[in-house]
Amino acid sequence: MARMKDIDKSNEKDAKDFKKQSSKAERKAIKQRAKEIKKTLIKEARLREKSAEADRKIETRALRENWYKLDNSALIYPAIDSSEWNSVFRLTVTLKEAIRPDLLQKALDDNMKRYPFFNVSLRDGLFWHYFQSLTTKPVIEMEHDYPCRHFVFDKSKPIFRVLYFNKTISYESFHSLADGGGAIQFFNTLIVRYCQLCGVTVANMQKYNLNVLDLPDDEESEDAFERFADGGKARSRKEEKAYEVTGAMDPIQVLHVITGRVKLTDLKAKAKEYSATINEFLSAVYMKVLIEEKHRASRNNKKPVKLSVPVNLRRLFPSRTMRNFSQFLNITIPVEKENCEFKELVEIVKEDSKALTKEYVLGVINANVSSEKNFFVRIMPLIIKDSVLNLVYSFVGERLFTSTISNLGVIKLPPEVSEQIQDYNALLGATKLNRLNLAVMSFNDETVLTITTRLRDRRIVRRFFTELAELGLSVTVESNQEVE
Amino acid sequence: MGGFCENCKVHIEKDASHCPLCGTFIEEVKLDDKELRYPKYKRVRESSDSATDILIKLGLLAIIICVGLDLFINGTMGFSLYVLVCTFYGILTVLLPIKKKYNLAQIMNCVAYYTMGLLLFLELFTGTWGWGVCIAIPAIWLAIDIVAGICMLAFGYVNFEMFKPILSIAILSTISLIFLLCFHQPAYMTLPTMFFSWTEIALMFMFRFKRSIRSLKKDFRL
Repeated sequence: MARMKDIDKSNEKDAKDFKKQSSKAERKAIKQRAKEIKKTLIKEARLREKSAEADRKIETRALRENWYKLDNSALIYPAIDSSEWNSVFRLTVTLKEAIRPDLLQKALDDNMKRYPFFNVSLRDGLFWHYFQSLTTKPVIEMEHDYPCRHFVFDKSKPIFRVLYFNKTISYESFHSLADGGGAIQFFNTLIVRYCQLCGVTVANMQKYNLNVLDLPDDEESEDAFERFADGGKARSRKEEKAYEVTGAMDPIQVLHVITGRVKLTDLKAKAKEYSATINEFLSAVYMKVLIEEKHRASRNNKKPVKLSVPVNLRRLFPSRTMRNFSQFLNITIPVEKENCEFKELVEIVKEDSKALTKEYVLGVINANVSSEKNFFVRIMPLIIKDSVLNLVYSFVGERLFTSTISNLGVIKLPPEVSEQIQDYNALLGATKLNRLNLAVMSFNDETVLTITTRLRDRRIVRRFFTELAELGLSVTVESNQEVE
Repeated sequence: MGGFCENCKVHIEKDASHCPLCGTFIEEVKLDDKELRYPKYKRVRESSDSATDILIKLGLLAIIICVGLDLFINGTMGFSLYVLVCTFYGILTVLLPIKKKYNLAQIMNCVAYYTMGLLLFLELFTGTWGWGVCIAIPAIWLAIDIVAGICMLAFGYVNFEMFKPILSIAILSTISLIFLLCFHQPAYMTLPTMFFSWTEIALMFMFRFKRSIRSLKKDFRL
């Protein structure tokens, strides 16, 4: 019995040992397996990292090798750029809530995926300037300077900036990158995305073509001038020089912004009284004020008052380009007709505006594109090309018009986003020679008229808004600076 | 909406205490910083002329005085044209690059082109197509090429920027050589310049710019 017991005990021991051994072996195996799994996981992670890095490198290289040519009308802006001034314009939106910078940055990052051809820096080639795609993301900035600050062309920075201050988001762009039409689409997409990130749900997004998830299209960055130039008859560029407004000016870094707000329906009705469009009516009012100023300064001045009106060519030619695609039309009031009635002024403006037909524009496009394609121009080194263009611009350029009136039209945004916006505004930066410019934009039954000037004296600005008030419109004004 | 300016017949935004058009006081407004629509700008001072601006203006004044004196005393432009061209050369190759903050490659490009322009003018004016075209111009190009080469080798300043003056000189010297040979002029200085610059370009391609061939397209978008 005792032996049996011994045998049982030894069996139990063996079993225990076996169990121990087996559990040890199992544990060992499990540990080994775990180690193997860990190793493979690390390997996989490393591989993934490597492939991601390789992808990034390929993407970066592709971006580095990705470049865009400047469109025909963009060529002038880098040439006339100086150490303190370049051609900049701005779009501003004031929201009802304070801006959240983190969400704005996220919205901008998303926007850049939709419009990668905006994330470019301006570079000098041997014969032409060109846009180089950037591998870095643009960063939003807090606003603390005057609007339309000078752009310093840095190889690693884009030629646009997104600024924020309290409740406003602003977009400032160097004019070579895009015109008003292209900039509005970019900025509206950014605003819609920002609102979405803030929790606003936008229904029927496709209607507005402002979805960041849409894919970029080559047509959006095309040179539409080159596309539509048919090599036909070119129009002569000869034009009479215009009267220039004179007066003491503030330093070039200073820009006075005076904004007037008018009800869109009232303005429409008033323009209709003269059987004119809003643009024609406002041009006539502005002309009247400029003529008064000319007579005040000197009655003997034989140069006529001329107003430069940029026209969006996308209305005449079917293009989805977001680069520059506008044409300037100079409206002239002949010196002998300067003393005529306001109604007659409107008629002259209407008559001049009719000149902008498809044939007229095509003639101008042909002239500009044929100059760009000229063999001698093409082989001329950039340094000489820029000097010549700069010289021509300083002698002719802005001397052909007294001021600019740019109407960016009615801004259409999804109603859910419009509800978040207090006001929408556009403004033109200071021009090299001309003393003041007017930008017009309508949003939510309100037309915003923004005059930008470096003139210390606000006589012309005051006359313009007072004239509108005297014509029976209710005008509300504000400025970026208190009058001293 | 805020107050109303009787002077200008316009309404004033609620955040303004004065009329922005005529400066008339409307009403006292106390605004929180978070309510401001525009930032408070720093006062900008009138920028005074920098040394380069003064030198440019002095140069232009010297031209006017010389041309005036020359026309008034001699009735010709013989002497003043030299002054005019040399002053412009100084402005374009020295003062302007300083003012516009050009980099070394851009300055080299300026010197290459404007020196050629200056010496060609002097040759044309004196009517002797000798040392200027055959020696001085290619010698300056060769000097620029050597400086560019040294910069690249010694300081690792290898980028596409430096490629531009070398390519300019290579093209200019090639065209110059063709002209010199056509007019049976000695090309003993132009030939090595051309050879040197094209060799530099070839070496740059071999060692550094294999991947940049595609990016060259931007420059050759003639």
